[in-house]
Parts: sequence; structure tokens; C-alpha cells
Amino acid sequence: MKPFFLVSRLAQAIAAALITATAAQAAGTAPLDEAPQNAKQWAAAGRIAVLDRLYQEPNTNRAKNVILFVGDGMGISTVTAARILEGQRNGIDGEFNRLSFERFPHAALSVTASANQQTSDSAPTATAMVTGVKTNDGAISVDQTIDRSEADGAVTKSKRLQTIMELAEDRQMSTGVVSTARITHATPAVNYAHIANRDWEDNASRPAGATVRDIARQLVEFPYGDGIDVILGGGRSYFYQRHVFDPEYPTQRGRRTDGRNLIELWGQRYENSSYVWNKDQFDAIDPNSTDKLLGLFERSHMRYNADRELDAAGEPTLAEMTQKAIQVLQKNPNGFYLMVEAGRIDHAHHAGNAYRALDDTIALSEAVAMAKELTNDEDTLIIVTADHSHVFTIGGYPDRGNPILGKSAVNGVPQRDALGLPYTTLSYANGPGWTGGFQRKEFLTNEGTTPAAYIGGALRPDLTTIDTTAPGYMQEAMVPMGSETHAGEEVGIYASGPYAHLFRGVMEQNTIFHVMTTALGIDE
Amino acid sequence: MQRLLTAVFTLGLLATAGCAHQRPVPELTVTDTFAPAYAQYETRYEQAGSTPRQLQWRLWRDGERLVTENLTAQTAELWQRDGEAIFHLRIFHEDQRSIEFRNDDLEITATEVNWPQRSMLVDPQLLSQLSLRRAGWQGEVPYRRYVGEIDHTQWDITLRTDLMLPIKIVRTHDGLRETTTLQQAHALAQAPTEPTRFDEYEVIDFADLGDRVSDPFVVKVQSQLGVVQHTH
Repeated sequence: MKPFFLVSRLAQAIAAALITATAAQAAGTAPLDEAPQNAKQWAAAGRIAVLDRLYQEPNTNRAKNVILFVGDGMGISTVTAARILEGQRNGIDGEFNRLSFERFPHAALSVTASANQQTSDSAPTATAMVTGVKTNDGAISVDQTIDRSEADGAVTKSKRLQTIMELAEDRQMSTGVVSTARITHATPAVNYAHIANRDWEDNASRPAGATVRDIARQLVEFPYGDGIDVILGGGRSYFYQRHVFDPEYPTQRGRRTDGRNLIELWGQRYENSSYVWNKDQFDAIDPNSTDKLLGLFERSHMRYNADRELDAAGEPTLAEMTQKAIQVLQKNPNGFYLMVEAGRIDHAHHAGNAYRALDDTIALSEAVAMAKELTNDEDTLIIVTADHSHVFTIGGYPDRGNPILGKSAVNGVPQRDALGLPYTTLSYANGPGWTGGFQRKEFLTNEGTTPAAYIGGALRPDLTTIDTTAPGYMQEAMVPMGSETHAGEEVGIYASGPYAHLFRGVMEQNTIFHVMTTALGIDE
Repeated sequence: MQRLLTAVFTLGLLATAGCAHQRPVPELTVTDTFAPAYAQYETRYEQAGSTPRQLQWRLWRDGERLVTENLTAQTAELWQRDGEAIFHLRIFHEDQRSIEFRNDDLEITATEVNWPQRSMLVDPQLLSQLSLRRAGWQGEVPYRRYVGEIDHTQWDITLRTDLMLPIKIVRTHDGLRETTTLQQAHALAQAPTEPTRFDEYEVIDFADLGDRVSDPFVVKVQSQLGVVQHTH
């Protein structure tokens, strides 16, 4: 054991005094939360950071609760850019700003390669986090020996991997899953479903003759403990039949063809349960008197956070869903396990839209802050991580304080590329924002695309008069692709609470599960 | 957004140029709602040095719902208004699959939701920039013809004002001549055919395309969907 793990409470007190003294020295001109302005302040801030870490004592309490936050597609560059954007929105130094989870005491890097992929999708990466086992692309909590087309229920069952949610339910803990994506989407699904193909979210999407139950049905028929206690997200249409009209969109129908209305079946299965599908209903839920809560706020994915207020029926924020979930779950003296996913960071990146990706990352940060406020480090392990990264990059040499969504600039003067054209700080290595500038012809009359022509025959567009900070701006990309792709480098793990100190160094992603079970004292 | 277009504007109030018919030609009044109608068109592309090509397509317009079907490519589009929401499907009949775009997706992909344009098959703002050359009657059909050049593109558009649908659109630019000709039109209740059914097709959310790279259909249509941004 490292010496700093043996530090006594007395040493901690001394350290605290040192920190205070050092802080006071610096505070005359720069409060701790503000960016240093001179060499003396930078040095003081560095010393404080070291002292803070030097006397950290590991928290080896047994965790009562575990909350796993997943920013889908939230790579390191996304965290950095979101940190800067949040700071700039708040009128402070964006580079010195930290998202709520970046203030956690422990961090590590997570290797996201799956059993068969160098760059992974959400299914095997999320499976790794909640089962402790890496698997293949598309697989939802089944092992790597399964074929992606395997639709036999018995074969699938033989390949299943036990999840942290199932273990928690077996221990009479409460459980919940929250996502801004469809609740049947890969990342939330790994908690409660076992299936070879992540796309089999409703019965009609399975191949003919399939006997494995679809993901939505597995959610409602979850057989462990007393069932999942809180389910909040999108994906309503996957739960009811094709002849049933949607309550929010009367022209739209459900997707199921097996005659099952899973929302009704869920209500029949659980006593003291509530189903909600809009903001007013959600707000009316009293967590003290509700034991089972199902909220499905969109037919498919929930709105991007940037568009949420435009929704006619209203949707809760990720922070509000997190708050409600914790309030329902924490009534159980045996504790709880909760996964919260910011599912739309990934979608915005795929669309080449940095604005929404970063805005949803900030919304995740606010949800984490809410969780910290409602729990305490003594008994709650909070982990914030991503399933994989995206080919999203921060480039050029912009000044500190330059708008992160803007053009790379020095002293307000945009920098120029080799063609003499300005460029943005944020860009993608591939995706729909290809530098060559596809323009889609009318789908009806010509499904093809044609390269865009730029002024003077330039190879890139001239951004001089373009507002690249606008929500609809699509950042440029090097390789033309209809959808921007995931990336293969590590993602961050940020942790606080019992056994959070086990997160350090470069770790395989599946280790996250084993830290959670260790913290909970679960004998695997 | 399209609700804002309920502000009515009128084009061609002075429809006198070349008007040979005694009966007054109805004014071109563009609103946010259009009479239910069916139409069939042919679009022909001609360019020097290239073999001309053409395609057949149809429109079914029913209040809050527009369906266009490309008979040549075996594809279709649905635009459905639902309160403030818009649902847009791109439909691939051969694959029996559809891709659904919602409001957020349409904004991200800079896909314009101009309901009058989608309903009329021509942008009324474009008409307002052209000159009214003629207004008259072809039998019992009132029409107005607009011509002009905008951004190096020459336009010649003849619109029948009873159904608010084009009779002919000729667009010429960069040596390419694109001619869209109405072949038949009816009130929707008299439509001779219905759209090819697609309600049983699997619908893929546009936002999911990036996570379905193992799906051959998705790989195939990605390039067809194309990209509409970077007009800058």
C-alpha cells in the first residue's frame, strides 16, 4: 500500500491547514475558483493541487449506493470542449472551469476496445461496464461466443452475462435506469436485457422465427428481485402496438405487432406504480409515495437538451430525472444501483453537430451535480465515464478565452489555413461536414449528392461571414461520411465515494464493474 | 415554424400581362393549408453531351400529410405535420425500410421545412422574385406563368391556381435543362391510385444511423441521404 494511503486524520488536518494557508496566500488576488493571473498565482494553484492529492485518504467504506453515469460518446475532447463552453456561458475562464465530475478526486483512463473491435459501439462497451466482461459488437450482455444474428432464446440464455443491476436486485437493493435516449437503446439495455443484436428493441424488429424476447419486453418482464424501480427515458413507441396512437403525437402509432401493450402490462405487474409521459405528469410524481416509476417522454429518443424547451408536451432535464430517480430509490435501506445515461451526446456527434453534443454534456454535468447534492461520499460511489469516444478534435492555436464554437483566432483575428481561409477550433476527422462539401440534391428527384462549389474554386468554404457558434452549424470533417464515427482512444473515468481510489491508471473498461461490486461488497 | 407562414401573401395581383381570356384569373393566394390533391409528373433532365434521362413521380397532398413517390427509383417521402412537430420519412420500397427525421434532425441536417413549398412543389418566395408573364385559362384550368433569372438559373414556371400545383417547371443552369411536366391532376378524392403502402416497413430513427453501421441497408443509403449543410 502506498504511503499516502496511511495518512492519519492528524496529517489530514495539517494538510487542510496548509491548503488553507496556501490558498490564503493566493487568494489576495485570485480566488481558488478563478483562473490564476500571474506566475505567483499559477504556482500557488499548483501547490494546492498537490497538497489536495497528497493527503487524500482512500474511502474504504462499503458502498450502499452506486450511481453509474455514462456520457454516450463523451470522449476526452468532448469533456474539454464542454468544460470551456460551460465556463464561457457563465462568463468565467472556460479553460480553468471544470465540469462537476471533473472535480471528483479520482480519475483513470478506460480502454474501450471490445472483444472484436478496435473502435467499439455502445453495446459491448456498456456491457463491459455492467457485467465485467468484454464482448462483441452489437451484443447486449451476452458473451463473445454468440453470433450477432442469433435469435434463439435458449442459445441466447446460455450466453448471458450477469449484470450489476441483477446482482443488486438479488440483494434487495433498489434499481433504476435513466437515459435521454430510448430506454431500450444499447447503453441502458445492457442493465436488464440479454440479446445478440442491439437493434432488436421491439418484437417486430427481430428476424422471423426469433424466440429471444425483444429488449422492451425484457425490460418489463425483468425477473430479478422486485423488478426495476425507476425507468425514465425515451422510446415509448417500442412499448405499444401499431394500432395504438401516441398520446403526444396523434398521427403516430406504436411499433409492436405482438399484441402486447407493455406499458399496461408494466402497470398491472407492479403495485403503487406510476407511468408518466410528459413533464407535468413527471413533476406531479411524489417520490415518497411512489415505489415504481416508468416515464417514457418521447416516441423515440428524447429531445436534445438544446431543443427540449421546444417540446410541446414538455420533457424533464437529465438532472430532474436523476433527482427524481434518486429520491424514489433512496427510500430503500438496502441501497440502490442507478445508471444514468446522457444518450444524445453520441447522436449529435454522429450528425457532426458539436453544439448539441457539448450542450448535452453540460446537461450531464448538471445531473452529476444533482446526484452529488442528494447523496454523500460516505456511502455512495459515483462513477462518470463514457462508453467510447468520437473523432472530435480541438485544433489550431486560438487564444485562451476564444469562443470554443468559434473560428480559431488570435487577438480576435481568425487564423488562416494554407488556402488563406479561416477555420473553426472544433472539427471532425470524418462525417457529414466533409470539407469537400456534399450538397444533397432533392431526394425525390435525385438521390445522389454533388460536391459543393466554393467561391473562387476553393477547396474549402469561406467561413468569414458564417456564425459557427449557431446551434445548427455543422463542423467540417476530413473524410466524407454520412455519419461521423466513434473513435478508439481511451475515455475518462471520474469517481468519488467508496473505493473510488481504485480508479487510476489505464484500465480495461470491464474493470468498472469489478470496482462497483468491490465497493458494494458483492461476492461475484 | 411553418405555422408562421399562415400570414397570407398574394402574388401577381396585377395579372394583366398578355391575358387573353375574359374571365378573371384567380389570384395566387398562398396560405398554410392546401386543398387535398393528387398529381403525377414527369421530370426530364437534358444536358449537351449526355443522354437525357427522365423519371416519373406522384404527389398525394392531404392537409397535414404529403406523400411523394418516385416511381423510377422506388422511393418515397412523407411529410407529416402533427401540431408543432414534423415527421419526415424517406422510404425505400425495395428494401421495405424507412428513415425517420424529427424536428431536431431536420434542423441539424439543414433540411428546410417550407410547408407551402412542399405542398405546391415550388417555393412561393421564388415565384415572388420572378415576373408574371401571363395569366389565363387552359379550358377550365386557371394558370399563371412566371419567368426570370435568379443566381444564374433561369426559371419558367406555369402554375394552375385552382389546385396550387405547377403545370410545368423549366429550370436551366450550367447547361442543364430540367423540365417537370404535370401529366394529370385531380382532387384527392378522385385520385386514380394510392401511395405504395409503407406502414409495415421498419422505421429507423435518423439519429440511429451512426450506430447501425453493420446494417447493409444503412451503409447503402448513407450516401444517398447525403449532406445538406455547408452552403457556406
